[in-house]
Amino acid sequence: MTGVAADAEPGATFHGEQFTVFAVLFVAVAVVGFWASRWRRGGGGGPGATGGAGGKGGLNSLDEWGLGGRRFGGFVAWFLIGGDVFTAYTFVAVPGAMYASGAVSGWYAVAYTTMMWPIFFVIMPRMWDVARRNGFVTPADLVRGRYGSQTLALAVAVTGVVATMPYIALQLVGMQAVLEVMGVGAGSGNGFVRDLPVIVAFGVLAVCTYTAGLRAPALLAFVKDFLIYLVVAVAVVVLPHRFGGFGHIFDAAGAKFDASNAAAVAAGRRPSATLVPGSKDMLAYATLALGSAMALFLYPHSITGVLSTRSRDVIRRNAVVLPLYTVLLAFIALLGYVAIAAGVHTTNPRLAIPLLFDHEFPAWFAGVAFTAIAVGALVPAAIMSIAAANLFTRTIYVGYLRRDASAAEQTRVSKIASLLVKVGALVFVLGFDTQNSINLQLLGGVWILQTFPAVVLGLWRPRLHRWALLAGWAVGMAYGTTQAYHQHSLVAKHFGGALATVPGVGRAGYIALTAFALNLVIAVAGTLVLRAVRIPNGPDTTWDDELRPATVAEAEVPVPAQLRKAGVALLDGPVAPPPGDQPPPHADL
Amino acid sequence: MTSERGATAAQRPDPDAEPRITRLGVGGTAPGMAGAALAARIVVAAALGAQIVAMLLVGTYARRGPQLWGLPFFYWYTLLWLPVGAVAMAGCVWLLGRFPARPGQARPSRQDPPSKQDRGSVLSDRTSQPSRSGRVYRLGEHPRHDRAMLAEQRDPDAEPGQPVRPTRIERPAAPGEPSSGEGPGT
Repeated sequence: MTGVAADAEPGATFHGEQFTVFAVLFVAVAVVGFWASRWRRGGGGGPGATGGAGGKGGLNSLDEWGLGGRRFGGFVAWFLIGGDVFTAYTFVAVPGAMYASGAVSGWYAVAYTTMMWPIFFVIMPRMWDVARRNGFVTPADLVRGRYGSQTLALAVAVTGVVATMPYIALQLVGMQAVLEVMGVGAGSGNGFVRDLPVIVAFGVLAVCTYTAGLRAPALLAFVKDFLIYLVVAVAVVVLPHRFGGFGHIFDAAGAKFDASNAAAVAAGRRPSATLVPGSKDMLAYATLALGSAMALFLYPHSITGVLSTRSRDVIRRNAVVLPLYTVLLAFIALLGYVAIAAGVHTTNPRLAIPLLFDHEFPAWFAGVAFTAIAVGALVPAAIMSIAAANLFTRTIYVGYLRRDASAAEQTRVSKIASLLVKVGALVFVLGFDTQNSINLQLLGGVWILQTFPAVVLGLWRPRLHRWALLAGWAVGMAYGTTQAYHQHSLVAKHFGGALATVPGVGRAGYIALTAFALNLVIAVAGTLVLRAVRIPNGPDTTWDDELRPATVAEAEVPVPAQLRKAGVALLDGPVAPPPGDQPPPHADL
Repeated sequence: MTSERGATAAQRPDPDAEPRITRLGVGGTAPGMAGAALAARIVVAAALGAQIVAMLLVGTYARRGPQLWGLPFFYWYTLLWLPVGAVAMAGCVWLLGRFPARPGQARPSRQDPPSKQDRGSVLSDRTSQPSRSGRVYRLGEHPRHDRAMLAEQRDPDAEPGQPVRPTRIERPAAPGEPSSGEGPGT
């Protein structure tokens, strides 16, 4: 079968059969989402739950609503973390980047999701441990507990929220790509009709998340991943064979890149497409991969997913099986080359994969594939909005506005904040040019990496000085933002790319990592200086391992019913009292 | 191998803690343990670091041939590291479980000593847990603690140096809560 050229206007006609399958599946997903508030409810159906003190509050504590009761086992956690990290935008943008420019901007995602699991293996069990002992819900809680600095916690929280918001918006962009290919709203000049499905989908999501908290995306992640794995398995088995095997597909991709590079040189631009990175691109490839791998687990939503697990060993064991998602991503990325071989022509690389499915699959299966991508947008968007809302509540609301907010009040504030975050993302995507979301997401990666010294190095002692960390953070943010601002590309005058010349090396590298290096040097050197001049660091009230205040009145702290019942695995260490209705030990700072 | 654990145990002010620790197989009678735990951590760090370094050395694999099923070397080599990494991490999980740094903690201590103004008094014994009633039980002291410990009490012939792998710690039940009695089954 020869390739079919795409319509010049992808959304020219409405594909009724695809949309019917899509709509039916989507309604089923919505039902599952609404049912989620009853699933594993505190004291309810969870294994070993007895309806004790931990469950009485239902969804009225931040632990229950925002962390699913911190009781997800390996199976649920695998889906949740995978659904969290591999988003719809990833599934649309990575093959899109492969389609447009090959390895450096596309395949690096596979390299980074390969090397992020060892990082995950080291950081996340420790993060879980410290968070569990101290009742932390967000990375900013950790920073406040470790450094005793409200200002530094605020910096981390604001960075987290600001970096997460465009990420949520991009999920909508991924969903829009699918709807555009289905031709939803085609022929209607009314923008509202075109955007209605996105608005409805987000409305459903908002209500599910509001009532069920993290349980909604956890349950939806099952559906999403089942659909995605099904679609990718079929695509990988059927499509390469149809286009003459991978050898032929790579030849087609190489030919396309040669042609586009020649065109770029003729137009006086730098050739950007590469099938295999040359020596000039290696630094860019390696720094993009390393910087992204380090940044990913600083995003508040990935921390939320990890903190919802039951034990530290669940996280470690999950790290062993989570690379399956990277395999999935690799296959999806290669579909970008398949789209080239299939003769998909589009100027918008985000549409490459939806168009490929549209042309090569029967209509009903394309509908299934599109549902998978759309649900894949909802799951991370829900987790991200929960994480951003928790950051707001714990750091800004409790830290600055109402210091004595009860657990129920915190949960109420978080629920409303999660709604506002989603509405904000929706308005941003529908009201402004999509390119703004992409720019901001690019900046988000740069920004979030600047919290690495405070958050990740804060997991262990000795700790750095709070003012040095704050200075490093500020310099990293400023440097990264200005560098990104000066990059221009064909479609964007500013924020045109994530790469900039690394000072002193002369080759292009990932801006975030350069800024991070600067940040780290300032934080370490500043700490040494501040120590030498004896400026006191903040009080460290974090309980580490055995270093716990002996004065803890455990009688006041409810042990979750599940822990009480099942016992605590010895190798997981003494489990600190979860926060319950008590303020965490650092709340009075 | 020298025993880091043995050194800390010798300095510990509470001699009562010793037999219990020994009984758990992490104390002075198993001097290789701390060294083994340290070695396990070095192996884990090397295994995890190798994956990252291998990906970062782009120059070692940025070429087209040899191809595998039509995939250039650059692509299939990246993919090859996924199963390698997964198996390595499975080994790490096993190693960390097999050689815990100490009971109740699977990571070597690298904190600075606690300073008094920061966190007040600190439990003297690492293995003790504060209880609901406020009394501090040491590992194994709690009446409903651990089947291994209960077995020890009933079995005076057990060899004193024999390491016993602990199974579970039972948290004391909340006041007013029906006593959960034996194990997780009830």
